[in-house]
Order: sequence, then C-alpha cells, then structure tokens
Amino acid sequence: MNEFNKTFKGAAGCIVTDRDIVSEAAQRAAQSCGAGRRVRKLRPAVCALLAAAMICGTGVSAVKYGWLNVVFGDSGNVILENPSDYSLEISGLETECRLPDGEISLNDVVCDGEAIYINLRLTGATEEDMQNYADFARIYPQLTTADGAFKSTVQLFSIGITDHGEDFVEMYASISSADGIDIGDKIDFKFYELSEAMYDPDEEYDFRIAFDVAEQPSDMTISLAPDREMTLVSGLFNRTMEINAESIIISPLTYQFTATILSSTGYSFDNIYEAMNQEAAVFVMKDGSRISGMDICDSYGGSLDGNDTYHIYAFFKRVFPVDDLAGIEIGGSYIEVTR
Amino acid sequence: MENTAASDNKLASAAAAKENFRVTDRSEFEEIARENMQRLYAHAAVITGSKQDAEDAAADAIYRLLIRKKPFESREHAKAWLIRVTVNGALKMKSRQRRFSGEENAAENLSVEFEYPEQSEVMEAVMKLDSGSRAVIMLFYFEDYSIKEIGRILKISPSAVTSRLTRARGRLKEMLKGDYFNE
Repeated sequence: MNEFNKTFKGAAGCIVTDRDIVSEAAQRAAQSCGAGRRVRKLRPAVCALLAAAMICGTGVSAVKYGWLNVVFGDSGNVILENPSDYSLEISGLETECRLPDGEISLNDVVCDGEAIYINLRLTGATEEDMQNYADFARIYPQLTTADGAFKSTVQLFSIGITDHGEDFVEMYASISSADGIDIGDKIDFKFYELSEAMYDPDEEYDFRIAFDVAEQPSDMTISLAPDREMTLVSGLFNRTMEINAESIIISPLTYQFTATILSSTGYSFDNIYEAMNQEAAVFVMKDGSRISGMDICDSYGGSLDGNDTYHIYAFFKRVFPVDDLAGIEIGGSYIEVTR
Repeated sequence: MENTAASDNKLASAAAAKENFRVTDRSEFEEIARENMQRLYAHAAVITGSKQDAEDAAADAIYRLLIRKKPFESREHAKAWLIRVTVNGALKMKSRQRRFSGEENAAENLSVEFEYPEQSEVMEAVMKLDSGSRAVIMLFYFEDYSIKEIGRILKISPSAVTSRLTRARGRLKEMLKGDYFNE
C-alpha cells in the first residue's frame, strides 16, 4: 500500500456528519405511503399501423424502419447513396416510460450486420438529463440471441443527443457485438437514473426500448486478418510500441481493430488504448482519396483479452462506403482490402 | 478460560453466519444503514463538495433502503447497494449544481478535522479533480473495490474506470509533493 493510499483512507475517514441521517430517513419512510412510480406502457404509432395491416389481411408481423439522413446530426455529407439498404425490420416493439410526464418512441432503427443504431424521441426529460445517461453510462443494453444466450463483447455507444426545446429530446444510441447482429436477436435498452443493474436488472429503470430483429441484416462487412507486425507511436506520450495486427473489421457503421502487444512496454491500458486511437487508421479509397480515422471515427471504446490483446471499437460519424474502400493504413503499414 | 474461548468462537461463528444470511428483516436494514452512514456521507461529501448536498444524498440512499421491498443476499450486498445508490445520487446532484449555477461550484468547507496535515493536503488535491474522478478515487482507495466492481457500481466499462483512475493519478502526482505514489 503506498503512502497516498494510507493517507487518503485516513483523510476520508475523517469526513463525518453529526446529523442523524438514518433517523430522518426512517421517519420519511414511515410517512411514505409507498406509492410506486406510475408505469405507463406506451403503444407507439407503429402499432396502429400493424393493426391496420393485419386487418387488411396482409399478415404483416413486423414493420420496417427507414433511414433518416439526418440521423448523424451535424456530421455533414452522407456518403452512402442508398441509405435504405440499412433499414431494419423489427417486431415485438416494447416501450416503457416511468418518467412522470414522459413518453418515448422509437423513430428509426438501422443495422449493417455489425451494429444496430436506434433513434429515440423522448418527452419529459431535458437534454442535460439525457446527457447524464450518456456521461455516466447509465444505459444498460442487452443483446441476446433468440434462445436467450448473451452475445459476446457487446459495446454500447451513445452518439448524440439533440434538444428540441420544450417538445422533445432526440437521442441516438448504438450497440454492436463481436458476434454480429442476426435475425431473432433481442435488443433491450434500459435507461437508469441510478445504476442498479448489478443486482436488480429489472428494477428502477426510467425508460426502456426493446425489440426483436425480424430479418437477417445484410452483411456489409469487410473482415481482414493481416497478422502483421507493425510499430505504433503514441502521440501523447511519444512512445513506440510493437504490435501484431490481428484483425480489422470495417462495416458501414463500425471500425474494429484487434492487436496483440508484442513489446514489453510497461504501459497501462490507457496508454496503449490512446496509442491505438491516435494511430487511427487512414482509409484509402479506390479513387485515391484518403480519409483519416481521426476525422471520421467517433465513440471509441475498447476491451482487453488476457494480458496482451486489445480490441478497439469505433462508430463512424457518417455511413462509410465500404464498397469503395481499397485499403487501410495503420502505423505506416498499408493493408489492402481483399474481397 | 476455555469457556471464554469457546464462547468467543461461538460469537465469531454467529457473526460470520449472519453475514452470509439473506437480509430480509426491516430492522436489519436500519442496522445496516447505521453501520454505513458515515461512509455514505464521506462518499457523497467528496463527490459534491457540499455538506448539505452530501447529507441529502446519503439520506436519500438510506430512505430508498428502508422502503425497499426486495431482500439482499447478504449484508455485503446491502452495503454495496447503498454505496452505489449514494454515489450515483451524489453525481447527479453535482451535475445539477453545474446546471443551475452556470459555473463549477467551489467546494464548500466540509468542516473536516483531519488527524494530521498530510491528510488535508491529499484531500485538497483530490477535491480539485472532477466529480467522476473523485468517485472512482473513493471507491478504489477508500473502499478497496476492484476495477471491475467499480465499473459495475458506476455502470461504466472497466477500461473507462482504468482511464479515469490513470488520469486522476497523473493529476494527483502533479499536485502533490513527496513520494505518495511510491510503493
């Protein structure tokens, strides 16, 4: 135990109150009539469409959601020419809002086989309330197969929140899995005021969006296995490290990079993570243009397998045209895309 | 002497057994609350920097405990739950402070009587960190939670915990003189 540890422990132990908080809370609890939060199960407008479709005898059991060009907010140009390629059919949509005056609806769902991207509309909360959920990761995503098995290496990213004043707040959130997204997968987003998913995952969330994937998403992924050694430089710490690039996955929505650290650097995960981010890929297009990962990637996340293998995940700020990609440059090493 | 030893062993066994039993009794909830009241206040005080807000955050967590319907698996489970509710309540309170004041509030005087000057120096440095980092520092150094456990409490990934801890340590090293971080 170092000196900071001992000193801080002692210092924190000196922070005490003479107010009888427990008695106050007990009195309040005794006075409480135990009224629970009102739960409203909302039926989004889409269900009216479903009902209408069934009455008409079409036998439609799912509704296809379209793509909104504005989904990435102020990102500027949308490169993809056919955004409807990414729309996703869903079924079993459930929304549940426990905010006193709140309503929630699902505007849009997009999927590229690697990630699902949802766009929500929420009344009864402010942009700063929503930023709390994003900042402190109080969004509990669950991604399971049709059989209920949990999918692996699930990453959650909240990409944007837009305040529409008194009318509503719009929120974008994405989820990806190393297993990809398949028909029958169940998506469940719960948003918590207090993070209590550890022990009570079904309790005290503020609102919830859940649905099933009703069609097999198109696989638009480029998967590369370079198995190549290269040197990265960490701009922040100006250090070099030797890595073996294990795999690169590029889909219209995501960029994923897995590498094993070879040199004994003694760096913390944070240092290595920053190096892999800062040495972000340069995407070389078929027309010769080069797009820096620093410009187009957003919402980096990462994880560590064992002691040496790092996975970096990023979402693109706008849909990436994978068909036009010729290769990728990392750490000065060019890796050609082979199809 | 033998009787005393046997009696001590029995007491120790009973205490250990109690730790492992499900906590369902309402009076036990209040007992757990009293055991942990000062630690909850300390967490909230370090995060909010305000005596009043800290007391309110801790009181709110204890209130939620006392009206809770579900049992706990153990007293340790109950303690972890209380800490989690308090920390998250304090963080939310802190973000509201920023919203309404329009600027970062200076930490109020928490009226702490430290045992020696180094404690004051260390705490002063910690209070200059952002509230999220302070929360992680408390959970790691005061409660001895692991990175994974802290991630569960704050509902952030272990890598995010490590990132915050690394940045906080870096800043603390810059601010503090002496060899606080040498083993």
